[in-house]
Amino acid sequence: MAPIENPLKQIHSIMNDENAVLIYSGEFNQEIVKSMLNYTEGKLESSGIDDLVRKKIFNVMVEQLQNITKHQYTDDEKSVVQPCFVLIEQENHYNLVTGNPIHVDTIQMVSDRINQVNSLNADELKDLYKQARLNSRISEVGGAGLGFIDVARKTENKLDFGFYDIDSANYKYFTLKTQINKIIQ
Amino acid sequence: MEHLVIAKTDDTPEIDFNPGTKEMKISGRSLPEDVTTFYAPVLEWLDELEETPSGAYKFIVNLEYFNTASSKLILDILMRLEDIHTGGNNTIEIIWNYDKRDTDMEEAAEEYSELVEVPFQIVGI
Repeated sequence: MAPIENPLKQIHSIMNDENAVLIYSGEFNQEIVKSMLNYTEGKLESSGIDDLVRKKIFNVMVEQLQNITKHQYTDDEKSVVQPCFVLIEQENHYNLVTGNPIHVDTIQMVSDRINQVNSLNADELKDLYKQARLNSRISEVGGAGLGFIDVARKTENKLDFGFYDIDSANYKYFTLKTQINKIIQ
Repeated sequence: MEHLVIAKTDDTPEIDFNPGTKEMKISGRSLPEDVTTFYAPVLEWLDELEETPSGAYKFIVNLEYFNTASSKLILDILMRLEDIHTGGNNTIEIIWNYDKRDTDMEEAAEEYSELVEVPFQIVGI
């Protein structure tokens, strides 16, 4: 899979694409996440999509959106680039792209976790998920630390990610792109 | 033991734990922002059940979707049910209903059933 290009350039090109289902940039909270989910479900339902694909998109979208909701805040507010979410329909699949500022100190950890997930096959992901869930504690921001594993399992595709420079010494912009196939095996 | 009822919302499931019928039902979607707070009364109810000899209970799952944080809390609930079942005061049977086309949910139910020593039926509907 090709790496994500400059995120702002990519979002601009997506906005001109007629197949974008939803584009959002701004603050993320639970109410906004629910609105985005309701809107997307309605739009997908009226498009005649396979129920199972719709469900998968819903599942993966929740994890990606709640991940931003829990991790969007930065401590140097003036240089912050807004988080974003894009859902786009391609010929054979859907892409879900999120972007949010990430502290440079957490980049290595996030990068290691995604690389680990990407290196595993379906059975290994299942084992990792079961083990990680047994050992998991709900964090202060309400996460279980299982999102990347779950998204990799549900999409059955590798996670595409990158970290881009923004106007900040302490933050970069983290993008995560997932892919859901229209034909489920 | 009181009848525990929590109405469903866009992001939380319906909870209906009825000591009269001895059925504990969870239905709908679970993606709350704060899973710990949402599930606290459920776990408290189960603590009380563990102390109260009252018979054979069924835990009936009709979940359409849950997020990863809920997945951890559901595991906590199932482990509490296992404690109750093995504790001797009451018996538990788990019935997990799912949309039979939804293989992700079927797999999720199977994974839970492998983790707890409680009679566990997985029913595709």
